[in-house]
Amino acid sequence: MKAEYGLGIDAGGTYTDVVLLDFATGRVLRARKAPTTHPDHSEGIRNALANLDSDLLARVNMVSLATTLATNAIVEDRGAKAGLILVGYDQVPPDIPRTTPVLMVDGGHTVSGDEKAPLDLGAIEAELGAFTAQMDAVAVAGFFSVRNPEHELRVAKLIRERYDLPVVRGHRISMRLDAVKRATTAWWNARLIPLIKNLIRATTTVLLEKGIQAPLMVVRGDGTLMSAQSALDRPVETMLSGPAASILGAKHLSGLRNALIVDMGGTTTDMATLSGGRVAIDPEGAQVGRWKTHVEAAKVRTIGIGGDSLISPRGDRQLTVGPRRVVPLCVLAEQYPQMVQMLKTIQRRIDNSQSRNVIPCSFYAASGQQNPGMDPSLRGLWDRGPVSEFLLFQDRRTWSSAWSLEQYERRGLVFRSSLTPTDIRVASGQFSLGNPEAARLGMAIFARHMGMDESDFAEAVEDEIKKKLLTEAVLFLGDTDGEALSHMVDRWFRQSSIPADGVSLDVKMSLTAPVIGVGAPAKAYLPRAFSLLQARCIVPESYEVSVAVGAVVGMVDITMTGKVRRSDTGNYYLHTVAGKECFATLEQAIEQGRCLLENIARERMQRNHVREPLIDLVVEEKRVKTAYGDGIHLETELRLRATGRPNVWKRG
Amino acid sequence: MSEIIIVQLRDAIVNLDPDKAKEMAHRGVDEGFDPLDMINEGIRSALDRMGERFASGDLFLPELMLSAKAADAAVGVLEPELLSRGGSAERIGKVLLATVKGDIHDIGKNIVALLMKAAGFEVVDIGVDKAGEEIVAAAKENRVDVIGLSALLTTTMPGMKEMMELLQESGVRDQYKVIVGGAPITQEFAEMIGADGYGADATRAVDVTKKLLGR
Repeated sequence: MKAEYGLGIDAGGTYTDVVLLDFATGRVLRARKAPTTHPDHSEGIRNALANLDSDLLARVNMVSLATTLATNAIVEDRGAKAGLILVGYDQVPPDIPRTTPVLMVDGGHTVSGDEKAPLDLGAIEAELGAFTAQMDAVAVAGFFSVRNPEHELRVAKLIRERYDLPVVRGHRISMRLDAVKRATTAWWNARLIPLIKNLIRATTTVLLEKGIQAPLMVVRGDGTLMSAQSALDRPVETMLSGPAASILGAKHLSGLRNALIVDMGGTTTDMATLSGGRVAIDPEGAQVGRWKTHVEAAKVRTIGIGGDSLISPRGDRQLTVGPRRVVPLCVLAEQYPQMVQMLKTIQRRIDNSQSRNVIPCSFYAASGQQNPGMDPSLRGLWDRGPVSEFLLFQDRRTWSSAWSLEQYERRGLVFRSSLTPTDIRVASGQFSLGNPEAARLGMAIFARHMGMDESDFAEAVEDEIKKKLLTEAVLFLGDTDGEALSHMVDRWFRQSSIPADGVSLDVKMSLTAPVIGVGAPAKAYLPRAFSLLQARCIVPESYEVSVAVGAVVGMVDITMTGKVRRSDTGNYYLHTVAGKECFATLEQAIEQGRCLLENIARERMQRNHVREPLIDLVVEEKRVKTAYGDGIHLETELRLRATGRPNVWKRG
Repeated sequence: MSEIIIVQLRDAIVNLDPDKAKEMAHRGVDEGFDPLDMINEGIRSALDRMGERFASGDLFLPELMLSAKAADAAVGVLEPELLSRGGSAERIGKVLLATVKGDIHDIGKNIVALLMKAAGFEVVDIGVDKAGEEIVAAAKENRVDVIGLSALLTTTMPGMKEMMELLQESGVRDQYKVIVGGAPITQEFAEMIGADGYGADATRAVDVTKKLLGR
């Protein structure tokens, strides 16, 4: 049998990673990386693929992409212009910005799928011209459209007949109750369509250049896959795609089925759990930033700590690590070797009498963006490379400018470089990256600023990272944000590092499953941190590229439900994504429900490149006994799950 | 001798005599009885007995409703007494009570309302045969903490499930605690439809509500 490979791509982090995985053995054959390019990720993907042998790439029969595009766009509130049409709503979802064009019309359904009020299509027709002007996409959401989508369908049809615009229908994005969240999710889906379209087009172009003719898949927020074609319709489902892929990658690389997965990156650390081999899903739906959605996604806790986190002083001999991300000194100094000289100057002038609030080794460099808003006297400041915050403050001619630096940084005109955990690893020789002298000087300066010797300082940084990771792990697994628990962890952490004298309470906590550590800085911090939770921490081979690995080992996995209920008139209503139908008997309704769901599932699996899906349909009758002793039929639920691997082992 | 008044109050209700029930309630108050004891031992036990007789086919619906009327008359006398004695000005929460669509029975609900008030809750009783939309609108308008749903007929039980779904669809499920009760309701049913609490009787409905609000 000809070997078949999967090509996994992780686009959107600091680096774009690609891996080639041999499906027959499950082994990672090649792993490559290149800096991610913004806003067009395709250049980064092209660079990462640049030095992979073409005869290896010729064997690729599935490409899969994990992308942070949706997550980032939502966090940064960036997306296409999308309008929202609400049918039968009494309020605009509170999170939707006021600047969003929203049309509220009469209509909507009741809980049993009967018309609550007739659809006022005339009101939409009257407004539609002005409404769709300068719009990239439209989302339509109807009250109880999950019980009867008719109004959403009619509005969508009207718009499609007249305008060439993507129209998102709420019930196709979510069949869950909660009209507010459903409308929000549909609206975000509409905003993301143009963005995902660009990414998919760019990726397809790169794949064609490389002669790769294999289906392109995209990772959803629950770690399962969908075709690029489906992703164009449902981009919002790629929310948390990266963390979800990382969980599957960690599972594949470690071979474990139950574990706490900790993915430590440059900016953030994500925690998630794997139970019984499956990604634990957030029952509330994915939440990113302030947005609560209906997207099925991994339950992930994101912490603002990573290899490139900013180290800053906090009070006397105390440190904070993160949540801000900066460029490590060793990285920027590779580009600007003059930084070494500047650091030496700082080292000569520093003692521990300076204000603790100043970070002694912070640099600011121009981001290359046009900066019309910048003070003219400052424009020349960056011409010769990065400037040191400390030296600016020390010089009477420039100190006034130093106050504006953070503001410029916020506006994206300049970016910051400072001492990071990555620098400390480079300085101590654990890791090789960029200019090690800059890292060593940065650490020496910071330690003197804190009045500590260098090894104490390095230990203090590591302790701070450990404490944050453990606190968050306990809060995540304890499923709480409780302050009380946080205090307890704090005390427990202190006790486990400093034995207390006299009498005190001893708190012991331990994990019942191992930890799988992935991501670039995983090896340096995680095993030691989690030993405090008596946990075995495994850092598997290829741990740096677990997201790209996870992208390629995923499956297509679709679930759908249908409900049959007795109506007031004694008939039976079948509610599915295809709409509401009425039957004389329960049996007829169930039979039709089965056929319908199976047909839709087969069609969807085909669209996702799965030729022979495994389909499992469960019919559950929900009956309950009353206190009088008789039983009543509440509903019959049909649950379908279709799974399969796209296009693998089946090509001639 | 103290027992006699309570027995007579009970008999007045069983005999469908509102005037007599009212009279006994007044006498009880005058003689210094605890209104809560009169409700629990007099009125409730009478209603329980009538309910049993109705369930076993021994009693017709008009009679059941007349007995409720008699109970109401007595409650009307006892309520101000109870509230003035409970006397605590502090309101510990706001409760909306309704009997769901298709169900016109309100005896149980009215007793719950009374005991809730006695326990210090502010009660908004919107009556019987209420559609989900009306209940949600009233809950929003009155900014209640708890929604209490009552049903007597098994045929209206699915309506309670639909009510829960309407709260979810309206995006306000997490703003209210929902308790369900009524003769046919069971703990299992309450859990199945995702209610927060179940009160097997009015006293327990109050206890559950207090617990839900952390009181």
